[in-house]
Amino acid sequence: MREYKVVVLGSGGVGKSALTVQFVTGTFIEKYDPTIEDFYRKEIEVDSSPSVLEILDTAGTEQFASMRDLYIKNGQGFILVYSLVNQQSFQDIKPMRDQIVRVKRYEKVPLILVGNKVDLEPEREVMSSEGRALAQEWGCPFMETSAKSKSMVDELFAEIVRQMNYSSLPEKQDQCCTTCVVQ
Amino acid sequence: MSGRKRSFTFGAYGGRSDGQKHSFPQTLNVLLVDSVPSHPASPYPKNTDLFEMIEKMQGSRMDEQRCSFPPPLKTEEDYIPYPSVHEVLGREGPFPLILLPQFGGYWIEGTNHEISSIPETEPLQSPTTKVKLECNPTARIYRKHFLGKEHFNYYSLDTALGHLVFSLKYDVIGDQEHLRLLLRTKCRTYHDVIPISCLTEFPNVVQMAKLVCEDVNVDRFYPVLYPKASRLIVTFDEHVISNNFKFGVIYQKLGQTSEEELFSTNEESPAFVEFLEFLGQKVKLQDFKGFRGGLDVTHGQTGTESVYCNFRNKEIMFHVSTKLPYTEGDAQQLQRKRHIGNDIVAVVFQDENTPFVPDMIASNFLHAYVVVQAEGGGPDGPLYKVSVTARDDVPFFGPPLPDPAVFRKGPEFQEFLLTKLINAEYACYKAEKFAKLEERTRAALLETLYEELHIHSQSMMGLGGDDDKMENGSGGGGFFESFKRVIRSRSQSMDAMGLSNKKPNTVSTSHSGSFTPNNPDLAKAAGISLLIPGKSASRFGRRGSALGIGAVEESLIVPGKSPTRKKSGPFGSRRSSAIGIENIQEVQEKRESPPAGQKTPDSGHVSQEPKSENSSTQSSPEMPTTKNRVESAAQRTEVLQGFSRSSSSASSFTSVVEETEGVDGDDTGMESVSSSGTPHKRDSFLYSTWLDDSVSTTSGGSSPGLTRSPHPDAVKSGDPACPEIKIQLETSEQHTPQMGC
Repeated sequence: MREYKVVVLGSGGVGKSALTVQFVTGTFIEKYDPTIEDFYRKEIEVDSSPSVLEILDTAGTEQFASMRDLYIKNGQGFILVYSLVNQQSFQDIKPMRDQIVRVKRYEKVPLILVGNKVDLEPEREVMSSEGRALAQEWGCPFMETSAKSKSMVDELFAEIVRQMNYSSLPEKQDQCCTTCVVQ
Repeated sequence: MSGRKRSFTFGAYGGRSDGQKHSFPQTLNVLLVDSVPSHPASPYPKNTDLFEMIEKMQGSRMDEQRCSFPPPLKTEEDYIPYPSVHEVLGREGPFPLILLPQFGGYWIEGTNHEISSIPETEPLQSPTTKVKLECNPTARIYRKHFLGKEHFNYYSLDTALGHLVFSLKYDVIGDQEHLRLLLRTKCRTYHDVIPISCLTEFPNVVQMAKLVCEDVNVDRFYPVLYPKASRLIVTFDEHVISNNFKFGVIYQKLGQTSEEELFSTNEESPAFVEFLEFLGQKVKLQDFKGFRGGLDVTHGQTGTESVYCNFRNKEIMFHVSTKLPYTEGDAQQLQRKRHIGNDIVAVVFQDENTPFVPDMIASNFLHAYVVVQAEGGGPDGPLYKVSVTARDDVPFFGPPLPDPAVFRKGPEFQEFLLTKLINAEYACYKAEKFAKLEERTRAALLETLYEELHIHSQSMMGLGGDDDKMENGSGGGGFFESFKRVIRSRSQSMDAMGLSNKKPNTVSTSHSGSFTPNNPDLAKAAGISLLIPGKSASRFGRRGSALGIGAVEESLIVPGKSPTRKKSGPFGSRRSSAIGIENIQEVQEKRESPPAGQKTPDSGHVSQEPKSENSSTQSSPEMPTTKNRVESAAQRTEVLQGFSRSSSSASSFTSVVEETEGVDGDDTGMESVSSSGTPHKRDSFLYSTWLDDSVSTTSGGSSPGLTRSPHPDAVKSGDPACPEIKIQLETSEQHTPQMGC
């Protein structure tokens, strides 16, 4: 069974832990309890193929810069979460992707842009078109989810598995390209 | 919007570091092509290592569902829960500023606030209380004593200790010769300054490493040959340093006992407003240029203003509960808690007498609270009662609260409070949750540093790609200048040979990484690299040349031994010229110092040091004399504090010196030397130092067993020093997790 290492990133209070716990246990955590670092493990079947997801739920604060570099260095797939009821969390998500590209030295890292809290539609601050445009610019999938109503949560984690599967196939070609660049 | 990255001390370093990182994959790929087995074929094994480590550390966290269980019951007392805040409020006041949670888990400092016990005329704050800001001097040693100065770096891999990066330097402090040693392991960094006179024989690199850490068990160290190595090393050492802090400020009104109530308060009382003005300056967040602590300075999403302070070169951004955005209908007030809840330390301000219970706010981050309660002070201004609470695994931090813990508003209290907050953050990093993170981060960063030093050193010797050589080959002056630089550099590499058991294995063709952009020595790299293509024509040729140099070196020291020429050919004429120059330098050296030091080969190598040092000085004559004097004074201050004696005057002097060191800790990479004590006192102190050294020498120990008198400030006495460490010149070696914005 293949194992995938997924890192969930985003600024504070956007619902990283709620999304992860909803996916892993099927329950919603109403209480906001800021995370330092949590680790989850869950088996999942994607396109008839069983897999194990190891999910690293990270802190929303930039207090430890080296720590985040370490997460990115050791992660395979990344879920970037903002809250669509918080414009700042959407602004905060852009430098995180830049950091991923810088640490991985690769622009096609498996990545999904997620706008969470879609159940709070009346308070929306970030339009779907903004999220979709950013995802298109990055060349990655875009989803709007709700950890509370469990909307698109399983689809999110299934999609990141597909992204990692898809990315692993042309690995050799990328190495060849890198070699050519070196020469 | 992109915040500054705080992994580096200066912005310019960030760009250079990026450049270095970019050069990494090319070298790695070339090495892979060469089938070097020591490097992993893909980054995935590291992924497994990290994730497995996390899994072990956290166990079956998933099963716990992150619900907050009460802490384990340790003592009999814990079986009876503390009264709840509602029970306490049901009784008659006055109430303490802080109550313990029902199941404990926290400690409290400052429980007496009886103002009437002091006469009105006496100062409320004890004059003997020292407001001392903690610092991490170990993290700054490399920048202070090694960077830009002649020194050597080595790396190795120990089966038990893991990756090692070792820096050593010959140091003359006062008129005494020392070895300054700095050894980094995955757990901690060891630092020592050892008088050479205490050593029976000059040690090799492995023996030097054992002097600072007896557990070192490697056969050899490998020299670092990368010109940019110093920058990588100082970046690693300083990853724990941050001069930016963010603290929460929570306003607690009368009767408020839940976080929902605390975060739903919008109005500010006059006393709270006065306290905020006392705490720092009110700043507009729009286009704010200082440390923003996660607040929005471009789109106004986190309120219009906040409270900010610059204290001893440290920037502090406060997250004030009443100034963050209020959201109607949100019981948790997420827009406020997402900032304060991600702080590690918070201030709680109380208008009146309602106790604060530290578990009111659910957060994995918040570990320490400083609670301030206003008390009407009359014409002299307000008085403030202070209590402090922190989780059980947070060590005590100073400055200690006076008894009674009451302050009058003023600059002294502000200094006390800000110092207490910063020291609280440092102390919280030692709590279990954060200490584990730092331990893992440090180990990973050290492994990365080791690998970079290894790859670049191999590449410099022609064992890697050609890109580095081409890069280094650019530039350079005329042939004569290059030739002089080569001779000078060769002299230094001979010093390196003298420090190793196996000379052929440690011969290097470049200086060991003490270059800086502003240092004229940087030109040495260009000069040296001009010869590398020729030398790399064949490995056998290189080795022969190296052996030849070694043989020449030995013949100069042992006249009875006949010189051996390993190889003749196109390099013959160069070797002759080198010999000639060496002879001239040897004659000059003999004039300067009598030949008393020429008895043994080791002492002969020692005598090489002054020549090398003179050469280094000559290579940069434009260096101002004042700077040299300042550095010398700094070094004297550095060594004096370690030789504290039991006599009262010496202890007093030591205390003053340590305060000086504390002040130095506040600098942001810039050295400052402050005079402490009178010259007479310093001289007498040096005298006692000599006397002590004499005693040590008489005892015949290979390394001195000096002991330092215990420092009166309990805060600075962290973990007990390991018995292997013979000299502990640094009063505290703390590792603060790295911070960024």
